[in-house]
Amino acid sequence: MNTEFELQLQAYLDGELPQAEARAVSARLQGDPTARTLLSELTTTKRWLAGNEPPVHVPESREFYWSKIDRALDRIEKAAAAAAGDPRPDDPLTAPACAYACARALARLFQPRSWRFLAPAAGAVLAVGLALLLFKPGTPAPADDPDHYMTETETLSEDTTAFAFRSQRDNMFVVWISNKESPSSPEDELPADVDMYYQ
Amino acid sequence: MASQKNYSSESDEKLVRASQRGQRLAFEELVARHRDKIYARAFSMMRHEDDALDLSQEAWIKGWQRLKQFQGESSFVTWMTRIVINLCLDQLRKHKRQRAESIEQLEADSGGVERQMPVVENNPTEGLERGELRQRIDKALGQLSHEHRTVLILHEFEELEYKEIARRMECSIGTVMSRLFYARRRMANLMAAYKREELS
Repeated sequence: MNTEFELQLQAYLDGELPQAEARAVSARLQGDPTARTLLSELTTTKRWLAGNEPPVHVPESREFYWSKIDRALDRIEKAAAAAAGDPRPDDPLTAPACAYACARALARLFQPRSWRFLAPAAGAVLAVGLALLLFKPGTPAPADDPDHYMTETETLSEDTTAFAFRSQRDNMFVVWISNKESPSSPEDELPADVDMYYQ
Repeated sequence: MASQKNYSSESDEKLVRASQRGQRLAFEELVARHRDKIYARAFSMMRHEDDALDLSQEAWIKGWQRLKQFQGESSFVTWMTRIVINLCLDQLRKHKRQRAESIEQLEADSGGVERQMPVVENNPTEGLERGELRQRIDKALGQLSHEHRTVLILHEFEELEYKEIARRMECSIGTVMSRLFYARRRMANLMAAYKREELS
């Protein structure tokens, strides 16, 4: 029995063969005990799988599970509203766009899943540290744009770059850390729990 | 007050219509009702709790954003399941992460590996209670590669045809057939091995 016939046998079982081919397989089965044994194994396997998918339940309470979705929907709606009402929609440093980019960069940096619970704490420590370095009292914002302020800053790691961004208007301060060797790709999706990573 | 409305006794259809009008509480009820099913599909494909949580929640977010496109040709939960499957497939494509799995994949896709597996003549699930059977199925599914498991899930649990699986997995129908054949034969052999372990 060759591979082609084995796959034909499977398609016969799954009802995926045209009638003429199904009749030919059926005829061949009459005189081929090996094919009949294989068909029997495939049939049995299909039968015990049917309706016996292992049950799995969400390992979080209804409220907690929903709260993450709800917050993400809030963010999306706020970002959409801000984009619609922003006087400078083409400015890449508008608060929602920057927050989104920062969150993505941080999420990517902390990609190994087991580390992600450390991400908010590490992000907060970094943010405070950089804030102390960058925004000493009296540090003036650029004269041409008092609302937005963005600057690159040094990091201890050679593999990462960090940018700090502050928007007085939106009462927001974010630190954007990215891997030098793997820059953000625009098609990446925003993780659902991205709010863990920015403030 | 509209925001206090209790949606728990409403049908899915009514909840979908209310959600399409922007009623987030109605959508919350849909999430509560079907979250296990959507999470289970993500978990069965990813075999990783955090990934499954993230992807299932992302599916709900996308569902909300695309609700206007839902015309009711299928049930709401089927529509949502398709969204989570597509997200999982995207994620699996992004992460071709396990080298060992890739080698297994190459061997399996090139054909012939399954020919070395003995044909299981006796039903290895005979006498098992449903709970035990499901546990063993779960264990065996966990031993398949992502590609084989996905084909099996889409065919046996989602009841998709070869053509539809090929479209979703972005591969040929021939690849779907050989992956499905390998997956079934491996499942049969794994179940037979568990049976032997039990008897020894």
